[in-house]
Amino acid sequence: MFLKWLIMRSWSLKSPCIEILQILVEIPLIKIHSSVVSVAPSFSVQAFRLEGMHTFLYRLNAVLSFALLALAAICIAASMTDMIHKSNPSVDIKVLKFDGLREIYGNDEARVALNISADLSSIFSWNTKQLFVFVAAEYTTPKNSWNQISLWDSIITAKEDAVFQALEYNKYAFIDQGKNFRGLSFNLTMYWHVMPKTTMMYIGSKSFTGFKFPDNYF
Amino acid sequence: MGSAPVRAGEIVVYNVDGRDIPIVHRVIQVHQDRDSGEVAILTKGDNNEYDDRGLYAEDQMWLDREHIMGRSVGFLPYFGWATILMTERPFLKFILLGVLALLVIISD
Repeated sequence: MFLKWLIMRSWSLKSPCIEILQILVEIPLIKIHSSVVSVAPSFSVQAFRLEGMHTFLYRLNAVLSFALLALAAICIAASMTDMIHKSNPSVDIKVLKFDGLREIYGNDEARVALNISADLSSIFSWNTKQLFVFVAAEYTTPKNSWNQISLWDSIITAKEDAVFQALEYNKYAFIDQGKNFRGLSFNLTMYWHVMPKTTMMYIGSKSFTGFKFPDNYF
Repeated sequence: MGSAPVRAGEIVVYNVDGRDIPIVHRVIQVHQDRDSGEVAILTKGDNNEYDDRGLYAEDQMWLDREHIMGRSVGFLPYFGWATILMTERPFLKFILLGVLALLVIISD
């Protein structure tokens, strides 16, 4: 019965690595199932048929499978403690000045000096590996219902570095799909992506409105 | 994959026509068309100085939603090592298959 199952599974081997790992995980589960079914009145997985070396393998099987499940359960429980972590970041973004607004290859391009200051240290928990922080300009145009352009980013790996002030020009080109910038109002939002040491990533943000492009090219 | 829209800052896995290996990079620009709802996406690796336009196909300036195969939602430490080890040292694959064959033979 087991041989038939293995042949059926091997038949669908597409990428050997992943399929082999899947089969490896399924073998202990199948073996426990079949031994429970074959011992009719008993419901205990420990009622294996005693037959020489098979006893050792069945027991090793059961122990390893249980260990794997227990380890996974503990990992998930530990990472759940990160969900109740409260953070209280403070952020401020200001546009110091526009250094240029021009048309290039049929699209508008802006160059802007930003004053970004933030205290993101409360976001760090035991499960935080690093923060990916970026500031994006968001606006709507007649052609596009949503535009998002990342202007500046930074990777913060330690809690001490999470208090910072950046006085910089936009790191990445601030180019529109079209020529809509003149006189347009836009938001600047800071997003922080919390990269965990294990399991789920999550995202926080803070938005600032009321910024406006100059009315003419210069 | 999920039907949630692709937004800047998300890490996505995408395929470029002509390349067989998918690339896992971060989205830095999103432009969503008002009429068709289609998005134009620009990506960049975090440690790279320039965006991914050099990696896209010739004359391709943006990625479409169809190019995106998935997005990253979490991190499982060391999980990839099994596949990496078996790809780099093929003899491990044979050892694993040998162990499986052994289990088949001695089981009933």
